[in-house]
Amino acid sequence: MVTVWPTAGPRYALPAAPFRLANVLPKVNTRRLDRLSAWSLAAAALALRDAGLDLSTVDGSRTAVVSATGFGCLDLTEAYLRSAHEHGWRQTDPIYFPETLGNVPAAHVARVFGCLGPNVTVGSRGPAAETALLTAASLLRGGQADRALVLAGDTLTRGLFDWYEAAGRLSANEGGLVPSEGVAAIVLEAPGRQRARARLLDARWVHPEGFEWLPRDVAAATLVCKNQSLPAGLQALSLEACFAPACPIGDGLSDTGGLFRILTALATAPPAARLLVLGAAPSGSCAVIVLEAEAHD
Amino acid sequence: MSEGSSTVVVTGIGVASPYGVGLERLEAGLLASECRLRPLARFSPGFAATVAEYTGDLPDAGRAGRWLSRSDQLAIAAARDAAGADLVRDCGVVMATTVAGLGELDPGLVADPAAWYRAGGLERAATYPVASVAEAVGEALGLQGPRCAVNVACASGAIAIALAAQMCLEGAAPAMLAGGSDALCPFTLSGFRSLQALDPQPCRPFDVDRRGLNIGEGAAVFRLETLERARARRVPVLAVLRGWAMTNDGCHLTAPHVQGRGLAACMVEAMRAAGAEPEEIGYVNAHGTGTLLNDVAESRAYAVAFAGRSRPVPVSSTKAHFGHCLGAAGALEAAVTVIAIRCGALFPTLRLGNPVKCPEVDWLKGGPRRQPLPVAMSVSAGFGGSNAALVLGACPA
Repeated sequence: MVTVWPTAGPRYALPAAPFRLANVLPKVNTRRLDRLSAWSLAAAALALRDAGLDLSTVDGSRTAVVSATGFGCLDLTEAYLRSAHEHGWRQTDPIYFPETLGNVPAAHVARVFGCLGPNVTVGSRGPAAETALLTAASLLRGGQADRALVLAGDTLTRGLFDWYEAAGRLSANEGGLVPSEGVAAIVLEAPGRQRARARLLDARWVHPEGFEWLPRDVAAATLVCKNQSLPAGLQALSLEACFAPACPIGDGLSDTGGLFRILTALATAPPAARLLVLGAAPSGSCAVIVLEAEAHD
Repeated sequence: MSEGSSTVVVTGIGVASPYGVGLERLEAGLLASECRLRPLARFSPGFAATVAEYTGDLPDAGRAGRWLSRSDQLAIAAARDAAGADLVRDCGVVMATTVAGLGELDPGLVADPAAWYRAGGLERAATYPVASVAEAVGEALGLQGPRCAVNVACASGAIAIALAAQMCLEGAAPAMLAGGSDALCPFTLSGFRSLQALDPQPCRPFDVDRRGLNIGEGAAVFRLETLERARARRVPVLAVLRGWAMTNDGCHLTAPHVQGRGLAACMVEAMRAAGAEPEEIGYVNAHGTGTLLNDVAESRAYAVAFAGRSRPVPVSSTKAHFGHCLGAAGALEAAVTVIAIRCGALFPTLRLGNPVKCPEVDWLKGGPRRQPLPVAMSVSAGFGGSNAALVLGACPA
């Protein structure tokens, strides 16, 4: 229950559990960074460790970073606004300003890990995380990178929480949003590259030609999930299973929860199951990705 | 894959620039060497600044009926200008922005957010996410294709075009509207001022006496599709997007690599992707902000990327005409590059008296230089170390 700031009634949120960043990333100074930047560094380090990938041993110019965020570096943006509120626009802090930029988390990841390839931060109302995945996959297919660190996440501040409240998105009853925060990271590589490191795959990307963006409305997209069937044009794919595991963290990130949902699904999926990853925008298109969980002995 | 399906072409460009709405107004301003930099007039942040403001009419929300930020409005004006009458409903949108609705937020918001939202800030704050601009364009034009926002600081606009081109090649949508839009706002002006990056006078990119940048506002949107599709529709092709590349310096948040390492690698890779030799590049529209660090690093990047040419490569920064439009800069300057190709005119850097030393570069000064221009490059860079380069060419007969 939210107690750190006043609310209109009993309200709930899922704040990130405190952790020592130095345990994940020793020797990296994150003191002046926004939480989103610091968490992006931590998530990137953990994903690289999980992939057995030491970026100092590969060509950095072939490593891309694609990051998704709905709201950017909110902590320091609010701090910057506070300084303008208190002292006027003439006396704002030059340390804060660059750290408020939305692409800064991805930039810090590039700086710390030596990723000199494409560095892109994307947003999308609804499927931002899925958009980052599609963008990264596109960079790999287009030959602009051999591997990509894909990140997605947001932080929760009082300003954002109060916006959800004022917009009627929160509820003490079932059905309302329980806002959360966090950053998830996934390593994507061109096929076969993990073999040289004797690493197992977590999942394989299934990519029929021209499949990943659907210019459809939300109702059609929801139907895909509910019926576990595919709309016209997608019959070539047979989904053997369709998972919709509960993912409180992912479901509390309105734009960027997709990676959390994928990681949760992969952790519970039986070997060789196909996972339909669906990101639906409130209006307009849907992002659809099919992953095949790898069968590990 | 046939050449037509593996080639991305530009079949429309819409612009809302300090010269007004329309590519022809931008072209006329450039050909007349008209500088649009003026003292800031639209709002008062408590200090003086030289900027390039958009002073024309702005569209309303139309069918969307929701609050639009100034960045949204500029984007819609440019997108309508680019779209043409026959835009398909499944067209995708990739829009870059760094500001989005940041200018809608009052600093008083942080004192009591709930009270500020109740007092009418709720809808205005909804335009803060960068996704708002792509959503606004998609909604205003009734498009249902993929929508994506790009936020890579001042390289955003060029990167949006590069990503959209790749989506065209992969068949994600039959056509893409891609570009960037950013409005002037106190937040960014005060931020650049706090970094002592603003020139209080009209900027002088690549001049040894340069003192900083001037911020501008505007939007540019490209209509992209495959050559095959454009031929089938029998529409004129404005330019061919021959190649693109993106890199990161990986060294510092606000300063470029001192030797321009990432930018040089970006230009080399873009030329390779375009199948163009450095000798073929007839003009480079530079990032050229006018800041002390950028311009020297950028000139060193040209020295590497164009080493070995028989003649220096012609380079200019049109930010001296209409300021640094941040997330829109890469798209606006790509539009300038297309104009240069179509008009056969290389635009100068205004007020360039004593250029930084770089034997590999032919710094364009004075008035427009008339010469045929088959292939040109537009270069962008941004905070966070990101770089982007687009190679554009004349349409094949």
